[in-house]
Amino acid sequence: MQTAEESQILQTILRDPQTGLPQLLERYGGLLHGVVRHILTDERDVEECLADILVQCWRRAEVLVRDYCSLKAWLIVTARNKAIDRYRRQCRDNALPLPEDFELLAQEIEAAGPSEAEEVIAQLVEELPPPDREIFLRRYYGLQSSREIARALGMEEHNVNVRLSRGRARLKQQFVQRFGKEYGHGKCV
Amino acid sequence: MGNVYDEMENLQWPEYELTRAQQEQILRKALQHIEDTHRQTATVRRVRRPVWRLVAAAAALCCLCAGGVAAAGHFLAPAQVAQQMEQRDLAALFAGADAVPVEETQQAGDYTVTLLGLTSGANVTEYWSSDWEGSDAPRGRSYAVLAVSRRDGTPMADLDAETTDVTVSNSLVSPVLAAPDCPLMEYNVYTMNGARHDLVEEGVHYILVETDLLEPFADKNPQLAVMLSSTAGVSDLLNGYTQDPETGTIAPKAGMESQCLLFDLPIDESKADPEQAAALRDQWLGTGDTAAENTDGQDLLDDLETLTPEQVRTQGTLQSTETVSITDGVYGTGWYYGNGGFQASVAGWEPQEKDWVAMWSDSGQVVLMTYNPDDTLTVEQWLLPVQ
Repeated sequence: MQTAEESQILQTILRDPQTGLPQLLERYGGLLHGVVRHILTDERDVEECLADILVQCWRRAEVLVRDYCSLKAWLIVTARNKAIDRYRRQCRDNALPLPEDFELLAQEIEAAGPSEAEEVIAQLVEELPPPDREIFLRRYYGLQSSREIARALGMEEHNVNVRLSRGRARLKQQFVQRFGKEYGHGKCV
Repeated sequence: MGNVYDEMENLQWPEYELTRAQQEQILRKALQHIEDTHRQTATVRRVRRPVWRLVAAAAALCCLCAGGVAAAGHFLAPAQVAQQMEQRDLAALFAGADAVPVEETQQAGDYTVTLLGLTSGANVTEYWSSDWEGSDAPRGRSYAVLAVSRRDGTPMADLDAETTDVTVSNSLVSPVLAAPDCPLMEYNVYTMNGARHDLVEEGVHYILVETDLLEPFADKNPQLAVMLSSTAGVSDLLNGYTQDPETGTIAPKAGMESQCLLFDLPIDESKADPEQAAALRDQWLGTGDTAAENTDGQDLLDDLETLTPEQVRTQGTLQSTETVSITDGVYGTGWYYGNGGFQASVAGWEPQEKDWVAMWSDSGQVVLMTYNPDDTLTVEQWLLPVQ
């Protein structure tokens, strides 16, 4: 569901990116910064990544308007994917391993093609009862740590970890059923 | 995805404020990219018809040339490619007397691959390798430029396009040496400290590959292997090509000819230098005197790794003790500093272990960690005597 404000920003980006993108950054820059800095620690990388997200939004603006898609949610997912992608490219250059829980996320996205894997994750999340649903939304889309999630939901961190662990087991089971193979070897928090 | 998106829309997400300077920088980069895209789209549209004509001309020429080798005058010259990649010193190298223009074209499925030229010289791209520490091997680099285009004349996808065709991740360009004492496994772009830079300009995908100096191996039949569908690195190279152990001759495996290309690298044989080649080989394969020296430090680290916490406490001097929280961060569950700096993981911790040797260095610094019932860690810093 697209809000009127989101629709207006997208229309402006389509018409005049020089006006629309500053509006987008003003409105959602803090949110995007909050997502990508879970992975990218160097502020120069953060800036490059956010610039990539703006360009991607400019490219997809027409489709987002047509599909009446939530801009905020699309930005969060795109920020997550761009940050993981950039981190992986850095890892290739520097021969550094990707932190294992984000390796797991990246593999989930890549394992069976982005859209299918995303659909499986989305389906799983939709089936979860509260508060597990919000825990997973925050973990898989916002890349938040257990501690941050616990703080946001007023829960014990240990409790969040237990629920994430159970949910991951279900996700793994669904991946095996759907794609006939496991999606990763990393150990998640 | 709809419901998930709706729920995400309604959640309160933490925000991390951007400074005004950061916002300006981000916008400048994004708008510059959009402007470049506009300009490039316009350029591609403008040259599409001529490209078609050139492809037709090249195809006609290929029919006349039994070997399928054609000139490729519609590509940028290697110096121009380097210039476009903002490698000015490399552009000067490609414009210099030692540069070797090649312009040999081969077909790979839907693509045409042209080796445009090569050169060798100083490390002008500022590549750095830890292999070079303490090595006597020459520090120069060799560079080669390839052009990849579509056989039907349609433009190659931009590097950041949603659907890419050739990327660093799905293709492989590697120097190889067709000599019996230079097996593919040991002499390839990975062992040779290779690096790659890609550029798409006017619908042509240019690849610049660089490695440590190849000239010392000029008498070993240096060649350039190109695979446009490769995701598994060196194993693809080994699976795609065969090498005769007697003669060293390299060839695509049967049935792989259209995927595994091989270009000769015309490096002047008089530049062969067996001594320098041996030094490079030692550096690449971790053999020779320098490697032996390096293993001394490794032996010490190996010894420290086998110590038990009790042995550390008996032999060492306690430097400090502190109790820290176990938190969750980007590197998993473990010990993080307040600013998010990762210190140690507890991922490998076994429940039956009370304490363990978590970190050690060749200066004798050893960190012991003890898991406490209240889910905290006691961190002890010890100093052990090392020789």
